Amino acid sequence: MKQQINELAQILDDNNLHEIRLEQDDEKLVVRRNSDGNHAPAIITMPAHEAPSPPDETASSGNDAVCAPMVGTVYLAPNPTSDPFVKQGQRVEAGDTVMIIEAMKVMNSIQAHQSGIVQKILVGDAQAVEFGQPLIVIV
Amino acid sequence: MYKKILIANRGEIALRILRTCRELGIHSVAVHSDADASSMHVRLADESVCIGAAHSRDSYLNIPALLTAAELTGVDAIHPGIGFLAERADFAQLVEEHGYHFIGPEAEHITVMGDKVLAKQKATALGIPVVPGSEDVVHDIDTGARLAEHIGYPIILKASAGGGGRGMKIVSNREELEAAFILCQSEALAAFGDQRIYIEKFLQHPRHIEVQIIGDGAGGAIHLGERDCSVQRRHQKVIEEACSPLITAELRERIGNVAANAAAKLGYRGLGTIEFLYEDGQFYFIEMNTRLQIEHPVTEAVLGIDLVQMQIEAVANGRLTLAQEDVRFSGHAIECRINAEDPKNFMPSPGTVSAFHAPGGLGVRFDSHLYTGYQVPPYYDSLVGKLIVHASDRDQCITRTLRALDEMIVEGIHTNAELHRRILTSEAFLHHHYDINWLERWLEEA
Repeated sequence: MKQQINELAQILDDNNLHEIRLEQDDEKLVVRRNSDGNHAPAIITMPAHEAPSPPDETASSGNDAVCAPMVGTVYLAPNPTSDPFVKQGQRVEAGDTVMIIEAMKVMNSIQAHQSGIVQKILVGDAQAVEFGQPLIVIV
Repeated sequence: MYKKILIANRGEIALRILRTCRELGIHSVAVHSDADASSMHVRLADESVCIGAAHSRDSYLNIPALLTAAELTGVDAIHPGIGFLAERADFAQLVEEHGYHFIGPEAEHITVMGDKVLAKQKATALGIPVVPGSEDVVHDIDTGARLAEHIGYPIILKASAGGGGRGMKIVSNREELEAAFILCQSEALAAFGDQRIYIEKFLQHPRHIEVQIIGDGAGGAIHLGERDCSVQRRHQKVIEEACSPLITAELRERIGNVAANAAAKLGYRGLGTIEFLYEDGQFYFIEMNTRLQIEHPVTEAVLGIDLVQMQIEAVANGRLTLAQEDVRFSGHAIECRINAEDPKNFMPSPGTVSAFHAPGGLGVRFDSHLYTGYQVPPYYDSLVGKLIVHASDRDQCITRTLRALDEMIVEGIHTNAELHRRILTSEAFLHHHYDINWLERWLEEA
């Protein structure tokens, strides 16, 4: 819990926020900046909702990331007992299947958009992904 | 009661639905296109899922993506909102098949009322007066000509798969029928994928009066009064009022009971609106909308109720929370649809809202997803807000609406605020001497 509070406080500072509320099951955690009478304006003109790409995303440089073409569940291997399609550091050719997104019980194979080395796999096995979410970086 | 609802819509109505979910303690899941990632309701929702690209077919009409998002977020029910999939029986069916509640009527009722010819037949069977016309689809011009003679010109040709004011052609005499018939069929095919058309008597100076009903799905239904939506441009409503200045309490009770009894006989579930043309003391059924309606807030204002809450509760619990005798009308309400459109030519005006300030004060409600810095996307309809004003009588309501319009600031995009000011200060509006053709004629004369 203490570590969680420290992490939240750090996020508060890094992003110049006033308050963070975390709700998980029945637990609620609120971390609030000390009010010195100087309230931040309530109107935020930048979206507070996090865009699909995480802040430490290394592939914001152009087209190195393959992004999810649909909402669904990612599977990194062809089936639960197999090895994953690709590993970090592995070379792939354009068109190679790098993972699967399952939607409505249909498995959709996700292909490498360019040849290169798998620099980073950005999602975990059985993770839910949104449309447009970066999945894997190939450079 | 549901723990989690997925809102399968966008813009101001998604925000509207979200607000009620929040008050009921229901977790909201906002699904959105990538163009709507910064939309107000997405920012406020408990969870959000980007389901597709900007174009509606890739996102808000993308049934697999919607059902996938529902599965991933573990919702109990899906609210379809207005437009998009709200009146798609196949969607309602799929939602239920996948184990979620569809916050709306059964698929079968959507189907019946979605086909305008079937709807009229059903209405007649349920005892609702209809516009005189062909009792079925008219397949050829000769049949059409005979019917038109019988009904009496002018007549109007309508697409059976149409609705919402689209796919219609007025014919004044026999000479015009040939060309209009062929044109209407091809337009119907292009717009709705179905070229079947039917014929109705064209009423020359009708008012648009619609009755709000709600059913529990088990044979119980009540009416919640009428709305007058006669101020229209190209069959799109611009201003709506409750109650209609033309409808007496006695008329209200009469047509309200006709509507409620029809809904009850149908075993209808959830909110619905039965739309009539009203002329010379007669009501004529034109269509039924099997969903929440854009102008529902004026009914909420004169009754002091939350229609979205009633709708959710009706579907979740199979019961109505209000009895007919508890329905009591108070004061008058006006709604102005604020569209992002160029006042000169009514073309949509997307862009960034550089400054926004909502009007306020007693009796003023502004339902809008706008905020300073918001980018109105070009991919969807131009409705950006609804100004709903309530007062103790119609005159005061008009005064208050004008006062509120003066306070409203929307800069960076064009809106139709000035059009509303002009309408509300016109002699015709003041004395409610309008019919559904009034606004267009008045604009042309100006």
